[in-house]
Amino acid sequence: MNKISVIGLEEDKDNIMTRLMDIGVVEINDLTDKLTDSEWSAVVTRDGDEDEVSRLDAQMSDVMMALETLDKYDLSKHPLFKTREVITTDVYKAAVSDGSRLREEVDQVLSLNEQLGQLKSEENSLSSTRASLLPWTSYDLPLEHDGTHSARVFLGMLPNAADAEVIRSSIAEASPDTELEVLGQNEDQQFICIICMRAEEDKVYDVLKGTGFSPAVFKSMKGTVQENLTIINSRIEEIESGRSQLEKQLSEATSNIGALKYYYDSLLIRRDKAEVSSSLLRTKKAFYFDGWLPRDLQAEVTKTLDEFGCWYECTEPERGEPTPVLLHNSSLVVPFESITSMYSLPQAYEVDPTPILAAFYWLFYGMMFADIAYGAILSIVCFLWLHKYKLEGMAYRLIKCLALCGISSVIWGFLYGSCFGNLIPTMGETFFNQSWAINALWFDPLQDPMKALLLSCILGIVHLFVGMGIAAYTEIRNGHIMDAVTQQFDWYLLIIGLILWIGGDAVLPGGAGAGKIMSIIGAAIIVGAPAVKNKGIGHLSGIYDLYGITSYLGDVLSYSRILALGLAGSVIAQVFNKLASLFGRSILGLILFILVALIGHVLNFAINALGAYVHDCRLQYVEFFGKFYEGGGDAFNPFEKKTKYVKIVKEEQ
Amino acid sequence: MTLGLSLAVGGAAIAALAGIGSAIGVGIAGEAAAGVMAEDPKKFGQTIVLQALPGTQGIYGLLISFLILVKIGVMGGNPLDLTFSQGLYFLFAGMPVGLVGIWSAVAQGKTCAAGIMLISKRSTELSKGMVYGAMVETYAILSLLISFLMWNFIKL
Repeated sequence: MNKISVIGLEEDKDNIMTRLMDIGVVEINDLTDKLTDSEWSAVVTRDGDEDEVSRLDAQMSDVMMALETLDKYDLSKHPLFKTREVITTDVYKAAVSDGSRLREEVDQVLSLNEQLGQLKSEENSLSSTRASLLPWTSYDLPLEHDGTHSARVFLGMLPNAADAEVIRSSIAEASPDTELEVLGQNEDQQFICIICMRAEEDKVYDVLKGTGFSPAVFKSMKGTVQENLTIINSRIEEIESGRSQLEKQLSEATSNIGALKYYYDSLLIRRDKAEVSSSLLRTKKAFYFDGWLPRDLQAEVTKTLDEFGCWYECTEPERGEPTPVLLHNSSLVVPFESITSMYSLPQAYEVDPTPILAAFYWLFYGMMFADIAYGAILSIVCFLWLHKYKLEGMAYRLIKCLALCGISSVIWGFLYGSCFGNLIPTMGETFFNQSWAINALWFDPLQDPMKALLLSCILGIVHLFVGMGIAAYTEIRNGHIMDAVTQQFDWYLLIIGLILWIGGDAVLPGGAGAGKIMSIIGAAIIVGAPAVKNKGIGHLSGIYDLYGITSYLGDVLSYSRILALGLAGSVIAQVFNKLASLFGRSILGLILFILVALIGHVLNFAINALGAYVHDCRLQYVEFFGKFYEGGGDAFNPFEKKTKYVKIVKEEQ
Repeated sequence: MTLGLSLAVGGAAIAALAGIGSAIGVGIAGEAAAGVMAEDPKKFGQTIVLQALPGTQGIYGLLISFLILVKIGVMGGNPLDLTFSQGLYFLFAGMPVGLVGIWSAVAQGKTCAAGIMLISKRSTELSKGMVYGAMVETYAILSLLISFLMWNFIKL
């Protein structure tokens, strides 16, 4: 990664920025900090047009809203995974042109959507009015009518708990001329109408007060209930036809979705371009920016800058300067960058752990998901997926990573002799009375789990030692050889020594004795080094360091999950095979066998593929990275066309 | 049917109890997932992955349970005449995976629910939520391993 500083003429700025965006390999730094320096602020000002950025942002959100609206009316099939459509510059330009037609289209869609919303809310309020009128259908006086000169008519509701007969008789006592009629009833309340003399209205109210009576209110409605209902119903019908009209127009507008996506991206590109200029500094006639670019891609950029007669300078970053990180790996390792970057990218001065991680990740995944058939299915599905959908970025890397890991599973499947668990021997026994055994090329972990456990732990120790080796390498590179000796090499001695001490005689005679000496020397360095180096109580910190042996023990035992997950996968497969074979040897038995085995293996496949992925990650992150890795690097983020829907490529020559 | 055989069946039963933990754990994660779905229905695929994680303990329990039943012949239809101590051995072999499974799945369910909250805010961080869940699962795996080794080493 090199640092680049550029000065160019303001009049060329747009063209230069467009070209840089097309090349897409320069990360432009935000230079606003420089303005706090009086030497800089005396000469330059901040560039950029924030109004333009916010104007474009607003337009983009309009387009987005239009797209979301149209999405609901789009009946065409959606692909399962969204990928960017690849189109040529010509197609793109023809579709977008100056954008004015599409701008109108967006406005049209938004206004249709707004009208639709208004109609919907009107319909809602009408429906609720209708619901409130329905209980009163048998009342045929106009609603605005509250009585004659001397009689008063009013409507109201009584709770169901109140007995209308009792109320009627108590009203009759207070005012004999009053009529009470129950017009209807629903599950909550009864609807009543009362006709009384105006003079006796107060007396009637006094009686009603204690009964839970509430007067009905019909705001400004005129005419009878029936008339009102007819008006409302016809209005609702009108609204419905209006709605279907609008919906039809929106469905027709879905043919523009493609073009609107292009339009969105064209706005996005313009917005990014407008936004990046706020990172630039300018004088009246010139502009300045600095940024980062990968060393091997420098030539193309400098050629462009030469064309425009810019001044530029490329320098190596100083040590310790925060530099963006771009990983460079061979094509087989690249997929595993998804695993590294999920944890954190390495600092610019750190070793990129991806190549080593890739080897171990691949190995461990195969051991945890060891099955010929499962691995083959995983690989084939992932490769087909990559073939069918043009995935990009991390999604591409992850799927490719799983595809490669599937191959490892196949290999370990052969070594352990597992194909859908023990499906083939089970089928042979159940239906053909023959023993079709698949022999393990190496050994069957179910028969000899201790061997598999030992293998897991030994590979774990190798994995840990490699991690410590990277730490030692970094120390030595930085000139701290003694640190490598006191922090890594002594542990190598102690751990290898202890293993030999315990089991060395089985490997070669006298191994245990050698191991004893090695572990004593290792422990002596661990305890002794701080005693020499530190002061005061620090002399004794080596004893505490020695206690760290327990964490190594924990780390190594953590690798037993490789065996455990592998076992879980193959035993569950066997459980399902066994269950499937319980139905016996018949046609029905065969059908049930296939059904049960299919469901069981799909389930087992999903659980184990996921489990192996997650637990393999954990081994890398916690055990392996814990030994040496810092991480926390910033990803290289070049100024390029970060479009959402389309990938624009140059016309093929 | 001997006492030993009954004890061994008891071991299989205890191993299967890990399903209690998984049911609770998957339930906890499912509640969180449904809440996130209410806000953003596109997250179904991601939340279902996290919801499924605490389900493995139940499967580990099933596995050991099944292995015990096969080894003592109950599954094959010819139950063996086990001695008292053999039966007790199977009973103990079922315990690690059954008991650790119950509590670890509940704890994992809570971690996964938190992971689901995480992806409701940052949908790109699914894998990190999964790794947090896997941290808890470690102990279920270790107990599965112990149960398996116990089962493996008994001689009949």
